Amino acid sequence: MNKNRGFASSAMALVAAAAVAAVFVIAPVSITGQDAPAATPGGKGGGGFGGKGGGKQAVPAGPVPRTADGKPDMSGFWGGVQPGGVTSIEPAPARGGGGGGRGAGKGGPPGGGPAGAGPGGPPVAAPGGPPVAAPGGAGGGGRANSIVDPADGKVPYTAAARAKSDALIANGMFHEPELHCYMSGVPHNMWVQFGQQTLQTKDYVVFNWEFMHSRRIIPLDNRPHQITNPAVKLFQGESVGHWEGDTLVVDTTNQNDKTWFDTSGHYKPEDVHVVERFTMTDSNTIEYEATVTSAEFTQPMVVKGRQTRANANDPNYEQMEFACIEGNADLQHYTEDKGGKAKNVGARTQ
Amino acid sequence: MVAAGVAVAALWLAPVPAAGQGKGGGKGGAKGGYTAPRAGDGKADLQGIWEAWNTAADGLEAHNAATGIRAGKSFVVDPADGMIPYLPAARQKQLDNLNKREQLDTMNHCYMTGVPRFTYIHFPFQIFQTEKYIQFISEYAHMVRTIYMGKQTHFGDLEFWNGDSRGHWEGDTLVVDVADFNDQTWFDASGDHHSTALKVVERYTRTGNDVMQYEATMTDPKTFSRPWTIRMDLHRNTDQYPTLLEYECHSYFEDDATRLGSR
Repeated sequence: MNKNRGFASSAMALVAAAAVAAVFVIAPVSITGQDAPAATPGGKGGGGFGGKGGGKQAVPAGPVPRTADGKPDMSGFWGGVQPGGVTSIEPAPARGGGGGGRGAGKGGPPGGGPAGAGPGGPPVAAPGGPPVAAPGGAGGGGRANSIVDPADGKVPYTAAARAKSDALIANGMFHEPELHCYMSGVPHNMWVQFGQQTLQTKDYVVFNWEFMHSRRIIPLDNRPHQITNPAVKLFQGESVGHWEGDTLVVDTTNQNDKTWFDTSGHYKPEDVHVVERFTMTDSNTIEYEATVTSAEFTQPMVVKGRQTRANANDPNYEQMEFACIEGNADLQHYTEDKGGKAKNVGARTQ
Repeated sequence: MVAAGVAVAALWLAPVPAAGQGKGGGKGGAKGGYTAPRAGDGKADLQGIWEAWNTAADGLEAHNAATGIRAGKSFVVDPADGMIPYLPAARQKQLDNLNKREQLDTMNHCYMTGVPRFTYIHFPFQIFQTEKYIQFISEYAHMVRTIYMGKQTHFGDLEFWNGDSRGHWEGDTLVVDVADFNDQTWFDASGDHHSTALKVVERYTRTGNDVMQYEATMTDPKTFSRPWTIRMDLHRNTDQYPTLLEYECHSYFEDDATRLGSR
């Protein structure tokens, strides 16, 4: 058996750095802690990301399912928020890479593997929702903006904050948080594309991502924030949730400054206050909105997107273990010009 | 090779359930007159934040204090001598591990703990319960165990840090059958170890509103001469709003490296 069940993060970094496509790359075959067996349970679901075939196996949407106490039941597997911002939360500069998404899709794991956990391609034109563009269209435009306010789709950084972000994008890839196996923070974790399992009880909603076994625990017991000292910093912050009609509203504070909004260097100020709204509109769809405020912003930032149910066609689908730090031998290869320790060798930088 | 080991283990496992049941929560519902509250599906409700208040994480056998290790009694209830029934070479390996624990204990590298160590490390875990699956989320290194209550067979050809967990109910006792382990994890900080042939049968029985009895039987013919069982109590966080935060272990190492200027 493969003893190195670590995280082949160099592939991620390459993609992040190149900002190839919003469609997440599918290096994860060797990444996961499960040795990427062709026989992943439920691996037959999903055709990878960016593929066209995802919709073929979709289970038709029905009415919003309800829990015993009448709330929308979000239990099950969900694809990450689209359009989200896996590689970049901002619109990608034109690079002539319009086909990148497709290409990445082709590189997907044979037989499904972890990608099977994904949505297999979001619905392209579901009525009444936000303008989700065709999957795979990121590099050369065509992807709808994740950020709907400001209207230009960019993080409303102050000038100083923008300079910090630009510096990270140019020279800071060693500090890309997921390379370090950190949980992704809020709202970034919502668009991680390896599949999400939502567990819902009367008192809690719990998000579990296969990717790095990140999790968020959201209590619904009407508690006030338990962490009131802003000096306490957490990767996922402290979340408290409540229902407003059929919308789950989640208020998150106390995040640290170690995570980014994406993998390209749009850093997340550590004073962010995030309010998310999850509205299930049918059995397969959750409309997602996050409002992020920070003193390092010139205005509040609003992100909109959609989650689509995954693996509905496979009632036996199971999310498996994803080891990350356990096999992470990648950081040592990051060169000095990217913030790492390895010596630059000629033009060979990552 | 693995398949052969599993087959042997399966045969060898036969007496275990009987032993486990006799001393554990038993097949019936209530234990000691206590009846657990019900979850939505009518099963015993095990939800809450639980933690072992003992020295099992330091060493499952009776042991002296040492650097980083508290002295402790044995949690091994079978065999009766309280010792883990190692094969001779495996005992020698445990002693070597103990001496080199600083380097060799994977918890010192922030790796997942494996099972049953997950349950009694010095960090709490929270149980979330649905009919189809039950999740244990640890405060340590955001570990998650998902215990599926449907399919009861393991993969057989995969290895996981925390194994593959399959659960079922015996009365009010949650019984979890765990297999498909790698051989990287220890049972405690004293170097107690296992091979990939390890199988663990865990039994979780609420014996009071704030107490849960935990029992685990380990079977691994490559390491032990016979199955062995540990037992201890877990305690529930009774705060009005119990809160499980984060211990993002390796990030603190990186913080230290930055702070101490060694990077």
